[in-house]
Amino acid sequence: MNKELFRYIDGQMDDREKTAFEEKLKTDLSLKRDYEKAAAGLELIKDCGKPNEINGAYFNNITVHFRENLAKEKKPKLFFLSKYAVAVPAMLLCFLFSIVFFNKNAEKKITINKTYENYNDKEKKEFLLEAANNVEINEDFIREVDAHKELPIEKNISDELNAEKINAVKTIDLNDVEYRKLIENISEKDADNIYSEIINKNLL
Amino acid sequence: MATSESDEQLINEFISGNETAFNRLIQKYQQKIYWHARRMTGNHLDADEVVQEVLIVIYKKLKDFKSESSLYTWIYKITSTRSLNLINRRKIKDMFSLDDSENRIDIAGNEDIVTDIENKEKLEKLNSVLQKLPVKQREVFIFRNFDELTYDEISRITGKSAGALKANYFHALNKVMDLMKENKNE
Repeated sequence: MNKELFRYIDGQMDDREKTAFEEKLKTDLSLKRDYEKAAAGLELIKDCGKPNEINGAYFNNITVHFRENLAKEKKPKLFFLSKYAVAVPAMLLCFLFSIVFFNKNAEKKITINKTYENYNDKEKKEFLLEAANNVEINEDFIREVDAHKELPIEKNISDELNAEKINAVKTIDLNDVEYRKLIENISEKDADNIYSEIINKNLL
Repeated sequence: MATSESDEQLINEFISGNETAFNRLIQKYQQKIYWHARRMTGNHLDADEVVQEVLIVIYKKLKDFKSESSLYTWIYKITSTRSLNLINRRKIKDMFSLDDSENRIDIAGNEDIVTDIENKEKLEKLNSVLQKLPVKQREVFIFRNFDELTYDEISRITGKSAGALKANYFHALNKVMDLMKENKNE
């Protein structure tokens, strides 16, 4: 439909425009066909939207239903106790769980900053297992350490750990930056302890 | 509209505490409210929900209604907003599958106020066209053809300029013609 036909159908034309358009309709057959199609289509769709038989009871009772709804609205709202009886406690539980979960993680971050000698048994075991699993301190390395007692063990272990730090970053679940800091700052005494524990516990 | 004087009377009666005046006022407009909502939403249940929401808004705000604007424009404004809100709510619920829309349409069919087959088919034909129009085009199409409002009136209701409404209606009309042609060919 072109704009001119639209304006005519929609009643947007003034009298002068309307007369001119109607003159055009008499001579332009294609325009006349378009107009007839559009007018018939519009009439049909209007007819579809105006059903002539409806159930009048609905309209008779509209205000009755409204009064019922209004009375419900005026009652104190207890929907939190009914509709959301499950949802609200569930949300609270999720919230509490997330607090506990994040606190646990925070605790892990703190413990990793402890020096090795301050670790409790569980933490030592965890650290050693991580070291054994993620940092491949192999037999050659142990032999080398044994053969060169004069070499500071701290350096050897930390070199070895650093050499494998890509693996460590990939596999260690805890914050890897903290983990590297621990490795880099390891004291000679701690390194000695780690080494002896690794040997004693046959972790290698 | 010639009803404005008696509207004012009814409003005054309601404000002074006569509750039945509200019912009489609603009886004058309930068909307009229902059919606008019905054509917008496409089914009886949603239309009924809109009607009840509109009545509650009118009831609560009628005391603040300023009589210099016409009541029917004000009522249409509420109806239009509530219909659009419901359509948006349905869209969101459908998107997250929070609503069993097929089941809802079945119930809507069973509880419909249009019960005879011929009229039902006609309404379905209308819905199949209107529901494919973008909401804003659907709204202006309904306002023009079924509510028979002028662009000035629609402009007061929707807050859009007459030019923008005409452009929307032009696109809507063309789409309706195309959709009807498609339906005929099917």
